[in-house]
Amino acid sequence: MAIENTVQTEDKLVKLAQVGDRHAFAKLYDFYLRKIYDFVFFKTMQKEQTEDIVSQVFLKAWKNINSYKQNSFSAWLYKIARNAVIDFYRQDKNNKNIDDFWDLASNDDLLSQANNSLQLQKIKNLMVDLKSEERDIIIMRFWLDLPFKEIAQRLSKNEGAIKMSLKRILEKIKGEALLLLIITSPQIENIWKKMN
Amino acid sequence: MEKDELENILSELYRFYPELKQKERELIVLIKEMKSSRPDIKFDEDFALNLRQRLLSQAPVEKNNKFNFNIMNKKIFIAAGSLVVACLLFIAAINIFGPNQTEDAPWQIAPLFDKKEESKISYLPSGSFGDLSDLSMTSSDAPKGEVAINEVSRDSLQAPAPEQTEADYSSVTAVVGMGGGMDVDTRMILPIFNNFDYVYTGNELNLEQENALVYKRLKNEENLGKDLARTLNSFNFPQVSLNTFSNLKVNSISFVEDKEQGLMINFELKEGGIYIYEDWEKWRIAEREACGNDQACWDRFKIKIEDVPADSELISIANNFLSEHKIDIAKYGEPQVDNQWRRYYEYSEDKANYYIPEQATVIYPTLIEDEPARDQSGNYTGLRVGINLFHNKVSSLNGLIPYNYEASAYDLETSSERIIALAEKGGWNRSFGFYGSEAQDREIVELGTPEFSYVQMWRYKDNENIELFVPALIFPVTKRPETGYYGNNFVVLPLVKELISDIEKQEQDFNILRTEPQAAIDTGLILEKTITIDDISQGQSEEAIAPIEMIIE
Repeated sequence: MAIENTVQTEDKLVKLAQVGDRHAFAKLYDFYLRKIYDFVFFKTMQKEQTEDIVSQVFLKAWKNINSYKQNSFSAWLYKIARNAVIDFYRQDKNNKNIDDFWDLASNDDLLSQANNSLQLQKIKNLMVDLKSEERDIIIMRFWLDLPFKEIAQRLSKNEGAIKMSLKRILEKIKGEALLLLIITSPQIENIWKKMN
Repeated sequence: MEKDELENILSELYRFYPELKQKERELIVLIKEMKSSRPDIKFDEDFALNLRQRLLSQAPVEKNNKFNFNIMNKKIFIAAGSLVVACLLFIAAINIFGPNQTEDAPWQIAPLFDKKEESKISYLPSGSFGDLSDLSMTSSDAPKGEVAINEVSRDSLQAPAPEQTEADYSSVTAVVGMGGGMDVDTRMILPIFNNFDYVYTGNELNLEQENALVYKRLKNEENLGKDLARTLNSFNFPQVSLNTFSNLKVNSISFVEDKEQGLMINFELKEGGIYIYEDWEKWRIAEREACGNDQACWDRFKIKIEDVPADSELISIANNFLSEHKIDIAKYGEPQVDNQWRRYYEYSEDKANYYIPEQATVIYPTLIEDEPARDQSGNYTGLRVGINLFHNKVSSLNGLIPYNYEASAYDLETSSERIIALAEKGGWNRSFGFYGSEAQDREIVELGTPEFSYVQMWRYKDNENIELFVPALIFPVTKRPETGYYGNNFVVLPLVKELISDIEKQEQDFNILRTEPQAAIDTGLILEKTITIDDISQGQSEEAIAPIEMIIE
């Protein structure tokens, strides 16, 4: 029916939240929770840490909602999430340059617990050579299934910049990482055999 | 992995890295690897619920300093604006009263309504306008112990009157004397006496929205009028010395085009609006005035149906006028011709003698949240441009006001049953169960699926008219009786909870008056007789139903 077309826009919900409307913020929470949760999970790979960080993200967003002045609420929220992940890892003074799980040298234990540990081990070899933001693009494109436009929005970049980044990432993984993936892939082995 | 998704990713990659196409097979494997390596996510629904509860239980966000800062900015802006206006008026005054007066002396009054100041919405905390139903209480001038019915939208000379239907013209104003001094809402909506029942036949309603913004129009600061008065104060007018009066302010400025079909342009400083009217002396039709008692002569000057231009032509005339006079319509929607009269014309059996209005109106609806606003009858409301059909020229304009609002969130009704029940009673313009004929003669009027819209409403409090735009549902009349239906084209129902409650409360109050005299006495009402529609329609004298005072409009 017609009223369905009047679903409050994100901007309107933010404005309502900015004047103290908890229900408006709750709607934003409902919409973004899984998106932020998944994003944080892919950067920590641990449920407990993800829950801690996601709680911080939304509590911080609610507390500071009036400081939001950007054009994209999602970009603002993702920025809080990225920073919260970085803060989480950098609590340990020995982790000065650690941005997320993929920067950690000793994380094999965690990966081995995953159902698809074999694939993850391969991905880890790829991810470790990428910058934090490049990893975010991989996570968002291949794991969160976000189109370029949305990735650009969430990373506060323009679409062209994201595409260029992906091109660089591909160039980077085209070398050793790609080779590694291709060689270690059983399907590729079969293809390779057929081709030769 | 879905084939489409894979193709999508590949096409994206080829666009930037065409040479990768040569290694498509490898790429497919690579992408599949990347996709299949997606870690399994462990998500706990309890965590989601707990965090939600935690957020909802947190104290509301602290207000930052932005609001106060804005107020300061506004004052500075207005003060600066006033100074500019004063200077311009000074120039104008020199042009008007000074020795070097020339006909086309260039001066401007536009900064009075600076566009920067026009388009502004200030967002306030929820419920900032107080109880909206309480706004209908007149705290000072309405005598207690009287219930005035049918005063909505009539309490302001500045408030544009909503569209009148023939049903409205047959309305009754009743003032009911009550001895008990009962604190009853003093303004109730016009009850429409009808011989039809509304039946909702639209789709199932899904009212999930729990709150929405209500908009309140801000008027100009008093400073503007005072600054202008202060400036004019220093001039010596021939008849009187202005500076002998105290605390002067300018309420309005008027200009008249001194020519045939000249216009009168009125700047209302207090209300912040610009109004244009015919300077009637310049629009007189001498031949018609000379008709005397010659009916045939008068008939020659009647507008005929074929004289009314097509809607597109009327809109074109209005558009040209606005463009010619550089009137900014950015905050108004697509123009529409007000064709209400055509419905009654179609019903009329004697079309030749039907009075067709001499002025057509083009409405540019005010945009609230980019949606065209409506009035309480469901018709579009906003900037109205009148076109004189004798000359096919614009002869009036009203509703050109600065776009300056405060917005505050209010809870909305989400029960579709409650909404539909009230819609079937006529919504805002409800009937209170007044019936104009016996049940078996009653006709069915079908209501379709409603649209969401912002509806303009006027309230009066502490000697001030308050203009609000409230979220509402507009139910279109989709099927009407063939015998003629003089009700509105829409049933309008506000969605704000307290307005819904107010409508229900008024109905209950009215039912006490209508059907339960004893209950009325118990609650402090002293009635000698219970009024019914029959009392009115059977033409009883005022004494017969005293002390109920009746005024037929």
